[in-house]
Amino acid sequence: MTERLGEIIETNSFFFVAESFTLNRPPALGELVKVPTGAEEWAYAVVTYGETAAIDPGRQPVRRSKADAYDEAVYTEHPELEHLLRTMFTAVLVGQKAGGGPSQRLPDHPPPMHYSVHRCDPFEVTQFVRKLLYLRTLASAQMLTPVEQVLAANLRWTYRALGETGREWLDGAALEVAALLQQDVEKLLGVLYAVDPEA
Amino acid sequence: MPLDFSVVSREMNALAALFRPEERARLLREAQRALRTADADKVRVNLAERKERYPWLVAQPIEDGSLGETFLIPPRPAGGYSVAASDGSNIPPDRHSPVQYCILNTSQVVLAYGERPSAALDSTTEMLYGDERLYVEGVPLRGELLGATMAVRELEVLLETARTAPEPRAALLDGTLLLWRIQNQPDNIRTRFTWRFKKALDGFAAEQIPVLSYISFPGSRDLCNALRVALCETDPTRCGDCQSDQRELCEFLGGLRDRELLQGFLSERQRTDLFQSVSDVVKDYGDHAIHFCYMDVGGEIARLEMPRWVAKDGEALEFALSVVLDQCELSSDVPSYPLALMEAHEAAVIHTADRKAVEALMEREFARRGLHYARSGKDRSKRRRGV
Amino acid sequence: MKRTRLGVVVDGSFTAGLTVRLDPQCSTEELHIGSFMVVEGTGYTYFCMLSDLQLRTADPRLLSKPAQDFPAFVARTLRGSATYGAAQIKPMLMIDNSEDEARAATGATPEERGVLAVRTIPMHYAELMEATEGDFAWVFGRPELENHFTIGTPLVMDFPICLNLERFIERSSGVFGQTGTGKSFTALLVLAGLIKQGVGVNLIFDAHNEYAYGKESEDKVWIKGLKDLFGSRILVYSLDKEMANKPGRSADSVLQIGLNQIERGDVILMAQELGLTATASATIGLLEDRYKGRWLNALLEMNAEEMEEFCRETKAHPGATEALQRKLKELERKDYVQPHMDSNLLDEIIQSLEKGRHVILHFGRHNSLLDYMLVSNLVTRKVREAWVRKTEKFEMSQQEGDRPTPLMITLEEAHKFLNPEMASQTIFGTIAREMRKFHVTLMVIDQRPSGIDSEVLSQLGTRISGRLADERDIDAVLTGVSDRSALRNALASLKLRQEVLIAGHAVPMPIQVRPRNYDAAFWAEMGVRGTRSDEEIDEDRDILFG
Repeated sequence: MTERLGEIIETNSFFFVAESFTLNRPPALGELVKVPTGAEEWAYAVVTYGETAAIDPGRQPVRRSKADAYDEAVYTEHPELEHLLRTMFTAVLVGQKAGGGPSQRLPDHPPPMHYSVHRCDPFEVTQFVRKLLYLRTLASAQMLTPVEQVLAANLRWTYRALGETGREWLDGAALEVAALLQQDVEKLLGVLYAVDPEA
Repeated sequence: MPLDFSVVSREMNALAALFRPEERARLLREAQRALRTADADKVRVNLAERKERYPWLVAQPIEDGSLGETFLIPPRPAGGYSVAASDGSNIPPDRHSPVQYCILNTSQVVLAYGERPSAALDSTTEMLYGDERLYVEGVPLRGELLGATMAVRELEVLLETARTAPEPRAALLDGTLLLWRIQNQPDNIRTRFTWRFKKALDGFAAEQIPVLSYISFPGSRDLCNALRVALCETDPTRCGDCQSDQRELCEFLGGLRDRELLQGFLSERQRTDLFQSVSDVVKDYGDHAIHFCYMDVGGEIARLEMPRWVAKDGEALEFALSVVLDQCELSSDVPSYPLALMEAHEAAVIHTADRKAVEALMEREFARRGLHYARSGKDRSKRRRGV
Repeated sequence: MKRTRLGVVVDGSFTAGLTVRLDPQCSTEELHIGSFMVVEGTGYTYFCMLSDLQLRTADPRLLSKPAQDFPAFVARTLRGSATYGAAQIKPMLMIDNSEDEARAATGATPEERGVLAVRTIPMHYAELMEATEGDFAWVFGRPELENHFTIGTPLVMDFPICLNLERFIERSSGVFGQTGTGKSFTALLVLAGLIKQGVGVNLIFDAHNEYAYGKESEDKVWIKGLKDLFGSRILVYSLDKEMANKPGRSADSVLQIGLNQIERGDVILMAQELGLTATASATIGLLEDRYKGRWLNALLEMNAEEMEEFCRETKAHPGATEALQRKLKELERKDYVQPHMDSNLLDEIIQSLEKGRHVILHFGRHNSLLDYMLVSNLVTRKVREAWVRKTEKFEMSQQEGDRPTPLMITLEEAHKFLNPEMASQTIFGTIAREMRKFHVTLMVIDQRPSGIDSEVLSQLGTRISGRLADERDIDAVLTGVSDRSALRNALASLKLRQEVLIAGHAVPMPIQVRPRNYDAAFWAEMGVRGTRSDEEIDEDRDILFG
């Protein structure tokens, strides 16, 4: 069973928001994650946003560092922060798997509230990104982060995750993104510059 | 009708005129000079021999103690420490509600520092209902009685919490250890509370967990009164007849609070000597006569109260005070306030949303059981606020 | 065989052709205008020619950015997507996809192989593919098939492309190209093929002494002539007595013509060469009226008085007549011109041709334009007359044995004979317009096809053209050809040497071809003989003259 990354605290047909188990370290932007939705059933999603904030909306984070205690040391000095802050991440649904291979249409049901979000293992990632249809879903989703940033992040993350076969995949994915963004040259160039493996 | 602000602004000048800052500063300096050299023995003897109690509280210097000496509080204990804190919040019984119940929410906070820092922020909730719990000797649990219930509960929970804290440890409470609210209650009622309170204090003593209560912006005048006693040639209660040239100073001290006296007298990280409280309340505390001192916590003068054994145990006292000061430094507020107590307060608070949720739950559960949940007319009008 | 995909059809019409969006990995530089390509539709496979290449961009803003150096990765990605290459493709032929490849191997004609004229277009996303050898075989057949002669290979593949010689000779044809493109080598290839396979019979007017005997090429290689290759199947008639007897390149006979054989048309054809005025034709007409077939003799023999008398009687212009006599004296002076010749020599030529022996008219030293035009026109006139008679006889008897052998006349400097002014006056113009009515066709060889009458051009069946620089020449070559716009670019993009475009009757669809080398390998294939011995020469003469 792959590592559990967080628990869903908001969920609907298109995306979910989860609270990360590790403060300040949600899954990476663009990472492919999964949620078990039933026996042998999984929903796949791509992380599009992360945020760390106070649990109690009435309490604002204030400066805690001192000259001799800053960054990581702040957490040592203030062990209560783990209980007062939380990190959340949003992921857009891009596919599901029930029985056979993965499909890249939206899952039939929103992932259940309070269910865990898991990391995907390398084989799963390879299998899922074989088809590039999910990039289309990602490109048209409503999200806070600009869409070209998310696409670039996903391409970079997948490229690293695939290892040897990454370069071949990236060339194909770049072409797919070019087709998706061909009406907006600035955005397209932004993505291509960001994912250039030779840069 | 809205407030007439013209009246307020008109009277403002007259009000400000009362203050006379330069004279005040002069008198304060004089008072502080007097404090420094005041004769503690005189006060001790005076208090012991006097037949009638003073109408006001006078700080009683401890054995071999002074009035005006100051001490430096040691730095954060090397190797770390843990601090337990507790605070409470409640939903009082609602007169307008058909069902009477009371909800107490008491927080349990433990913050540990050093090699293995950790934090625990919890709270424990209690629901009181039925005549047995909502009445004390026939008197409804409301106002002062409810306040006393809370105070006792907080100390009990603090003891439980402190037990789980890793050593070395100290326990903090917000407010006073003196249950003055109920001091005028008849014995049968008062002792119900003080008995439990004393039992809890026994617990701290038995386990050697130093417990302090922290009072921010204290309004007490104990020390000022003690200084007056030290200065007085005759009878401190008969100021009207006084011919002494100290009269002005004494009258000034009569209207001064301890925190004002000590502002500028205490420097950073300094505290006063220890004093014993002569409040009537302590007679129910047995061995645990309440002692206190004042401390400059950076930004204000705070009052710390403790049971006798802590005052006597030099090491425990120094440890506990350094914990308090460290906690104040950790909070980023100015004036500062111990972090653990702040978290304890936050953890205890019952938000408006929760209050409403409880009410809604009540209404729903009663409806489910076929019981009509009718509120008073006055209440309805308050809720609706129609025009 | 699996074809390589190049792109997909994204637009098009039956009239204008198809637009193909090239795949990202396919660069425009990998494709050549005029190449033979294949589009795979759902029901049909289309054989096409690449007629244009374009660059497109999804967002013009991409190109208006200042010339940034896009990093390699970015440029590559843009190239296949936001910017892409587009190819204009003209379908020429198609086959039903249910046809199996076995049929491609066996069918003797395109129709038998299932190749159809294009009647529809493929839908969007039909794939454009590189042609395979099998595709060439579908359309152009294989050398083993009857009447198929390998003329060369496609530009980028080593597969034999065949002309159907029977169809080639059925109509008049043209070999074009600017100077230096190797027209004579191409003509030699075709003639060799025709001779080798015995398709029809050839009469060749060898204006520049290129066809009969070998000569040294530019690269100092000795090139064999048709006589060298085919020996006694070729008869060489020379106008040049001296050259006729040179050992190793001797003619089989010497040709002489008589003044009595020269007709008005022959003279008018050479008007420019002779410097004749506009009145010449009228004057000759008057001469003919009086002297009939002897008009030229009579003119040249006339003295001043006789001329004066003639003019008086016929109202001929004296000055013009005198000038005419003066100018036509030049003809008399020709070595090969006799005052009177009977028709024996010409009849000989005709008989040889009828028997299936090919005749090359060798001009030797007498290869001025005047000589060429005079003799070619005269001889052709006679030969055609014979063929007209044969045809009429065949039509009467309807016996297979009477069917005239198809005759092809090879004519160089065709624009001299077939320009718009002359086309109506020369026998060649007549032949061209008649098409194959009398089983006589032309193969015209020219570097200025724009000088040729457009009606004649439109009658040409097959055109083999090397590179042409002049727009008018290109237009001329494509006169009367369907899909002209598609072929323009194919024609304009040929290399100067070693590349031709073949379009028309002898090939199912236009194709760019690298002509095979006219070299030892070719000659071996033609079954070359060694150097001719004197005995062989004698032997031939015996056969000829009985």
